[in-house]
Amino acid sequence: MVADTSLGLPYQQGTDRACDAPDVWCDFTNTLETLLLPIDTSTGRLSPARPCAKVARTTTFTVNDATNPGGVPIPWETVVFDTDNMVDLTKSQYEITPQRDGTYYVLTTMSGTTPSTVTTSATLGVSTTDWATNPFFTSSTIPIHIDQCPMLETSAYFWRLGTVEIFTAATSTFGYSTVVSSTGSLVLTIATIMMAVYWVSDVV
Amino acid sequence: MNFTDVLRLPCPSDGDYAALSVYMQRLAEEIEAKILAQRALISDETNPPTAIWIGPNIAIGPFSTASIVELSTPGQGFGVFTNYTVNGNLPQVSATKGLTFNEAGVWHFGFCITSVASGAVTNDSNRLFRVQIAKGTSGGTQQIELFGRHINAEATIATDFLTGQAVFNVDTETAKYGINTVFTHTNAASNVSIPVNGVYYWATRIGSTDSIEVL
Repeated sequence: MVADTSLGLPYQQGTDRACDAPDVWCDFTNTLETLLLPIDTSTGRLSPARPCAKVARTTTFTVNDATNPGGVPIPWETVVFDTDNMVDLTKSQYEITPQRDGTYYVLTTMSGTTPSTVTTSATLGVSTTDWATNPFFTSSTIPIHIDQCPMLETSAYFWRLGTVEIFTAATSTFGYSTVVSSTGSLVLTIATIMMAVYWVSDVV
Repeated sequence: MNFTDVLRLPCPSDGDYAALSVYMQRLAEEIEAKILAQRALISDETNPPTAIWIGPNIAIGPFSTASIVELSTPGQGFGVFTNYTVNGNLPQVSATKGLTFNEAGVWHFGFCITSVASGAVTNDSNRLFRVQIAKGTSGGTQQIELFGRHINAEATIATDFLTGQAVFNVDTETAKYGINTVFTHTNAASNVSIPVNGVYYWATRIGSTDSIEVL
């Protein structure tokens, strides 16, 4: 009489005949395979690689608050790494678009300078706005969803925003982008700016 | 001999009775190898290489506006929490190459630093901490990432807090990577110190840069 473990793994008992072995054995390995494969699928979501991407811009970029009071999205130049086909600069130069739903850590950093005479400062934001609609927008033209860092001192030249964002393809048609803005008269010259994104967990 | 469709686990066919013990041994060894591989993947997932450094154990400074202070961990009494080693040694934050990273891949590094003016504060005198992730090459040092924090001290506050983070890729030549750290200030009214345990660094490996194969 063949018995089963609680997970359904079959095994022979003392009353079984020797010739029962092939069927039981193959049933055992087939059942074992169905138990092991989901573990591969689960670990494969994070190891050896998880969805992560990083984009950069190192060519000087000027943000002029007088002409773009709502802020300016950063057009990326290079893909530093991308494990999940999240970046296609020929399709959109502004965004990192997750292919897998979930919670993501988003880090954007910037170095730049402002004229010594300015009295306001710049902020970094992470947005999921479709910049292809109107890259240089005013807040009245398109809705924006943006997470911003606090303003730094006028003379600061390192900016950073690290934030956790949730992405679902059902609610977000556009990926993460970086927007630079300020609240006053400001001309900011960006020397280097980067954005990195990595997947943290599922959202189910 | 039969095999399962995907993992190729062996099981005997009708003519294999005489070799059952051999097949059972082979099956056991293959199951063990598979489970060990899965354990390694799960370990990568739940316990990635991570290090936290807290120090120094003796205050640094007070130092003047003319000084450039390197806040590296070797020789400055930093405590290290870590689950990995680099060539058998505890990982360090240092401009010297090959002391920090044990494995190629994407790493996330951050810092929190406290600085204290030893006397009066010059209003808007800056505190600046810069970090450069660098790789040594035959042509010299290649900058992988440059980031930091620059703040203007308020005249009424003697203590300042500086924080920063970066996500970057370390390639397979981990022994060529180092972290340069530089702290400067412009507080002319007095000097500035880094107090005991005023520096907190952390690093964790996010994963490889391989393309995702299993969703």
